Amino acid sequence: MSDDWFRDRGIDLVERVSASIDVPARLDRLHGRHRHRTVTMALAGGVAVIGLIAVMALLGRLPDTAPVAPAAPLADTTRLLQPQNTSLPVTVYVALLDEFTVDEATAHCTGTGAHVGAADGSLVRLFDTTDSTRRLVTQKLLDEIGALIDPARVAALGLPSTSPACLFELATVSGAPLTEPAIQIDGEEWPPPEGFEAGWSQTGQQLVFYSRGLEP
Amino acid sequence: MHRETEPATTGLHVVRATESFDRFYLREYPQMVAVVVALTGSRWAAEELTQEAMLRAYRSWDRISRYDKPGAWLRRVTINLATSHLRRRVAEAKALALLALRVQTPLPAQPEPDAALWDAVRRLPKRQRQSFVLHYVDGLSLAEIADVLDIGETTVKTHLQRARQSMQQELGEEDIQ
Repeated sequence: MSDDWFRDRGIDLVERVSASIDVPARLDRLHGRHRHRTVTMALAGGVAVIGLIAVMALLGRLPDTAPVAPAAPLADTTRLLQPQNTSLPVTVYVALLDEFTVDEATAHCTGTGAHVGAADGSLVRLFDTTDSTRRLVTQKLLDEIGALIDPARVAALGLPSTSPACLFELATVSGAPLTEPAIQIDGEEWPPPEGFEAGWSQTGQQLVFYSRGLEP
Repeated sequence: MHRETEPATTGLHVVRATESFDRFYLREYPQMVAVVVALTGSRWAAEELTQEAMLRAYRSWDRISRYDKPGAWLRRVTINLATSHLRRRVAEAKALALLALRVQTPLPAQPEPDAALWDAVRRLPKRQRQSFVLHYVDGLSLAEIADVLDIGETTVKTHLQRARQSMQQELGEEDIQ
């Protein structure tokens, strides 16, 4: 099995393939395909422009009072910081921070990328700026929070510890839709702390502990 | 339209001022189809993948025609498309196996002669397979293969040696006569 033998087999393959292809016809098809793609793209572009013009015209006719309420993007911190936007995709609700004021919580969040949206005396809501940084921000944030919580108060609430890992569980349950309003810490299910209820945020994505009468 | 000029010679190491796309296509298309047939075993896929690579070349021909070696560019694109095609086919086969449908992915018509040889080529590791096909089917030198695959010339030589050894082990002398 020599070098020449392999080469001959290769030449033979090329010759057989070449003999069975109508290359000029294939070239014509390529030109046709290119034209087709060009026309399709032009049409798609045209439709998009017409659609845009139609939407702009429609918006121009709408009265000023017309409700325009698209969901606020996570990065839109201006909207997130408005306390009345309770249905926004809040990343983390940490009921344990109920002793914090807005200013205190804001101070603790400095440098974490998170924002404090509202505090009502028993619930502080912490917003991530973007989805992509959610986990990092949350972990960093909870590390800081964990060091600040009074162990005596946590024990009174019935939670097992103040460790960041424990608190992180609270956050990670928000990552996917769950079916039961409960949390698990180290595989064990924990009920809401006394004085709190468990429920779902309005997006259905977050497990929320909230004070009675302050449902999300 | 592109200006038509005669290519100075054939092969990858040709400096052309500009060559018409049509001339480039007529020369390279059948060669590349044969290369992809050897790599994938699918005549249908070979024609489609080569055509797709040619279409990409056509769209950017003003730029690509000024390259020293437009053929090397074409080979890189085609080989990448062939690799993606093979990955997709493997994934499809796995999915079908998971579904327990017992549906075999049909290989389009395989040229009859030397079927055992080309089947063995397709069982080689990726770089060995590519080096082997570019050398023996496409007729490229070691330096040209190194350029297309973006690896060292010595590495190409090693791939070719190992490929030949594997082939000789897998195919007995009686299979190739």
